[in-house]
Amino acid sequence: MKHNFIDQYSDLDSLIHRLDPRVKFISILAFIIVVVSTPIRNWLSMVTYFCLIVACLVLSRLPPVYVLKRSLAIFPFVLVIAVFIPFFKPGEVAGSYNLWLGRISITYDGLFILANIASKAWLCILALILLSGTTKFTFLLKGLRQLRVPEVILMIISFMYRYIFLVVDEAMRMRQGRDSRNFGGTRWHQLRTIGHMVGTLFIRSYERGERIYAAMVARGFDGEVRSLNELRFAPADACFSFVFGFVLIYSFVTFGLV
Amino acid sequence: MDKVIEIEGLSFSYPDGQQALQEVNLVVHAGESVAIIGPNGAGKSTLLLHFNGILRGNSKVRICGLPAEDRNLKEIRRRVGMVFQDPEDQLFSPTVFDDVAFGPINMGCSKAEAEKRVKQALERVGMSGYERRSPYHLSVGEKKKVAIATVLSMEPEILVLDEPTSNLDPRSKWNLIKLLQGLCITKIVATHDLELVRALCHRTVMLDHGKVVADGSTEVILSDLSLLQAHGLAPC
Repeated sequence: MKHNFIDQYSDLDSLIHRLDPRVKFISILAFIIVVVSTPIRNWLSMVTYFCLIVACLVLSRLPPVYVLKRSLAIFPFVLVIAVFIPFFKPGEVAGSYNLWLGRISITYDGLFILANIASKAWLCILALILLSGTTKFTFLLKGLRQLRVPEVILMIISFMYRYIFLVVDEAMRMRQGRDSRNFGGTRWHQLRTIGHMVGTLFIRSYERGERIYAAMVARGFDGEVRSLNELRFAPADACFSFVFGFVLIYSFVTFGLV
Repeated sequence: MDKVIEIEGLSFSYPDGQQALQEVNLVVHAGESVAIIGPNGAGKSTLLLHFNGILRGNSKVRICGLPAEDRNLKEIRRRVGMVFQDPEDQLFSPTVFDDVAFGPINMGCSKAEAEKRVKQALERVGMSGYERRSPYHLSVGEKKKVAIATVLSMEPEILVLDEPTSNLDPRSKWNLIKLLQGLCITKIVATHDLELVRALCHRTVMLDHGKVVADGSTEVILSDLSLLQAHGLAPC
């Protein structure tokens, strides 16, 4: 079956694609931390961050439509979370005002914060798309391994990446099987059927896990994860991290002090 | 001839009480190509899992002269290459290279040595150039071949295959059989695909309800129609 892979454009070739995954990971992580911790009213910093990430995206040659679509797809989640923020705001500001006036000022403040959070989230999502779109998943894992991320977590991510589509396929086949036997009846019956399907999926995944473990043990796995490293830090990586870091810190400090 | 597998009076029951094997005796010599046939649920896969100590019953199992005990398991698993029925279970790494290199790396090979073994193993199964591919994107036939490469890279002395031809179309199946015929190594194949047995194995062991019901040359056993019928391997 056809799936959208998270790294479907990672086979392109560009300056950004060729960077060491560790450099990309750390740069993007720094970018996110700086963006999130920039005070709300520093619009100039925000504009600089935006230009920085757009410049990287242009360099990476990722199709703009793909980037836009992907970033919008994640947007609803952000909105759902951010929409509640104006409702928390009145508790702190209001207090002495009466309810009617208080509500007016809250809406204005709230909208401001909402817009801010949304734009920050969008910047972060663009940065993550830049990372995931230009890095092969396996190389990202290798990079994380060299950055001393615990092996257990890496294995979980790696297995998830390997088997998630298989689980999705299995769920699709079960749905086809259900539909071809004319799934209908009362709502309660439908829910029960879905419950059984989820349960079956869980048991199948569990059993697959056992078989995979047997296959690993059969090839000498003893609980310790071993791997071959083949990443290296090139001059281009140093250049990129320097420029990226400089722009980030410069805009954070300069515009932040205005 | 060297005995590579010696099993004496092996019984095994699963934790739920289901008796899977009863008093199985089996000796396999080096260089033999043995088919283990039997209907579904006869205990074929359970027997195979005893060959590298993943399951251990109540008896004396000796692999290449080593008793199947904790201290020998590492060595036994290096010598016995086990290919599981569903290649999706065997190929768990993000790339073909990582999967074929998994065994050698666990054996403690150096990077250069592991790369050499991966290259050779993929060549032997005709899958050179697939190193960077994701196993998910391969066809079933290709997955089976890569699954065989993942154990060949450990340079085993015995190749154990569970239903190697299941889910394959005739062309892929015969490609795979040719590939297996070309490997000079002791082979043990559990299957109910009698075409495969005829083409690949000189000796056949028939299993039913966890017991060995026949053991002899493939020609004799496969021409005994009443025996095949009695154990669900031929239409009545």
